[in-house]
Amino acid sequence: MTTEPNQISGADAIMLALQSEGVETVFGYPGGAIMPLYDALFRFGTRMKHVLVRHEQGSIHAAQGFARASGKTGVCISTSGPGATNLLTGLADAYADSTPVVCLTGQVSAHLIGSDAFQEADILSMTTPVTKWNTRITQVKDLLPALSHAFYIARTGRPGPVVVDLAKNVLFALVTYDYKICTGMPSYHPVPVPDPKKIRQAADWINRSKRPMLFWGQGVLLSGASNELGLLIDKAGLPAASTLMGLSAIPADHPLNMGMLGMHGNYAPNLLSAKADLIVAVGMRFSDRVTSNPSTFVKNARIIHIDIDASEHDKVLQAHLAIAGDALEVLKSLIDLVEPAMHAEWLAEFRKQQEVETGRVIQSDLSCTGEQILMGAVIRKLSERFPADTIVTTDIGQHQMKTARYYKLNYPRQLITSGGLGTMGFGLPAAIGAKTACPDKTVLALLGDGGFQMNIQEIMTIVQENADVKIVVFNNGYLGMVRQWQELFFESRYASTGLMNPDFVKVVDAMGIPSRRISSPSEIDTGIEWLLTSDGPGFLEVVTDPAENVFPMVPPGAPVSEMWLENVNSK
Amino acid sequence: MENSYLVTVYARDNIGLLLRITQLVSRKNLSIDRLTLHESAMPGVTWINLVVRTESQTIKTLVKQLEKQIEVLQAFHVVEPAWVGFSGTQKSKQLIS
Repeated sequence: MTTEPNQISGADAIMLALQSEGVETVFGYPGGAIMPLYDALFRFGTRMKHVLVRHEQGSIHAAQGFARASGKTGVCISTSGPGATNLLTGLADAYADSTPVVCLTGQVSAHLIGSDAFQEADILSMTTPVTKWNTRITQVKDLLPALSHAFYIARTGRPGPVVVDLAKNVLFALVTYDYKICTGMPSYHPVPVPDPKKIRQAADWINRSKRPMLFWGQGVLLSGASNELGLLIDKAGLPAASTLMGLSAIPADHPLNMGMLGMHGNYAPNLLSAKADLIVAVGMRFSDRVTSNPSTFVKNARIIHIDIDASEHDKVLQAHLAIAGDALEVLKSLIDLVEPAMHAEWLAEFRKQQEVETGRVIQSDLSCTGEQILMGAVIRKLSERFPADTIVTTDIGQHQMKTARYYKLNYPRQLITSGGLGTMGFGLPAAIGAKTACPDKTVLALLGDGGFQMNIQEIMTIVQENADVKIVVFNNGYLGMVRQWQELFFESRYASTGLMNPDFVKVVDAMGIPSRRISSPSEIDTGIEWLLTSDGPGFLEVVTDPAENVFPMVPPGAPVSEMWLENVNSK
Repeated sequence: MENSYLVTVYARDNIGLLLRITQLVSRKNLSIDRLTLHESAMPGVTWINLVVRTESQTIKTLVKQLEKQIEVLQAFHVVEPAWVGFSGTQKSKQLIS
């Protein structure tokens, strides 16, 4: 091969391309097939920070945490075969939660593809159902266009994960560096232009409605429309409720923020959604955790569904008016067209149901008067003591729902949680990514004892990176949410949900993070104070009541308006 | 009501395209009755025809999901004309035999 002047290796070209895309940090784990890229990374020096995780699943969750906290695209690098297959859970998670991530996976050299070579896996096929786009590069001429497409596709429209599978020969091959940032593709139209007639129709319905409600999802955060959402609900007097993924777009104490929808959401919005005559749904997809049984959901309402992804329209519920467009653009247009309104009587109904929930659920959840600590009480105190803009990550289960309910979220992108896929082990690596993206903010990882052990190895990543992450593990000795369902729906047969846990404080301390345990309500304040004021990363184990449940709850398949405030079977 | 639908997809011909198309069908727990693909009049653009039996709501969502794939230029569906297929009416079966 003749070397033309100005030619560089594929691996060096990738580093320059990452720099052109504004990437300053990558998360990854080296291995055979990806070694040339790591060599280029080494030679790139301080121009690119690499966070060395302890398992590839940690790298993609960290990249997700980075993306969710910053709004930028997260990048992770893995080797071929097992390195790449370990990314699958994170890809599925990012796909479900529309998170922009670009994964560069190593692949065996082109001449070995299909020969069952060492550490060869068909990553292109395996990742197809869980990626917005994927491609395999076997010739260096295709490398730079693919990278620019990858970043463009990951971040535009409804964001999502992209895999670029790199045959090893491509990393060595020489290429002229002529990288061009992609600004459009002929077969991909990421942002549909909303129909102005439909927007006028929506405004007209809002203006005529007597009992309107607005539902919002993560689309509002992704399009940066939190401010416009607030302006719309204020002007039109719309009581509003969020999906789990949309939380933090509107401050928790906003008078029209009625809290969270869905299975463990708030009582008032679930109950009164059945009485609403109009639902304005913005940037959400009517997940089964929100609707329960779709045939019984918001039966008395006209539905306006605003989403950037037209394939979400009529997927679960038939909308009476479907508007394909970016939330920010549609909300801006609606603000001008809606008339000021109050809906005082309708709002009074919400206040009444909020009082019911406070009296029957919230007060006892937060009081902690017994001998054992309750998760909700600790979470509320954490939210009162930690800085207002603290980024909170969670794992999956009871502590996640308690965080969604009791942590007062006030700043957009403040909550980073695994919504659609419900991935245990997400919270700890996501916190590493969030801290990398926002080094000046406090990052708090709230985890359960089950999920913590799924990616406990990432404690060492925190130590090696000296990432100032504050970790709280709620230890009730159970896979709590599954235990709760066993109690409620399987006659208390606790099949394989009891966990024999290690001494977490000793383990984490031995790994190098100062650790403490609290187990009595009288220790909550000092424990939180210690965590907050400890220098660098800190770990607090909170031993909680194993019998604690999350209420209210929509039992599976029931209409959301028939939400339980307590265990109806125990009465 | 269940119908037999003919889905037509025009897409850029990349390695992995057919899998990306067909996995969307299998994700809906549908099987493909017939599938053909060939190069279209436009170089580099593949023309895929597939026939699936399903409800009208499902086919509409499926076609929108097909259309949003990055490589897909256009996707649309029609209720399959009876004379086209083996799954058609008695009359069409007689015509074929």
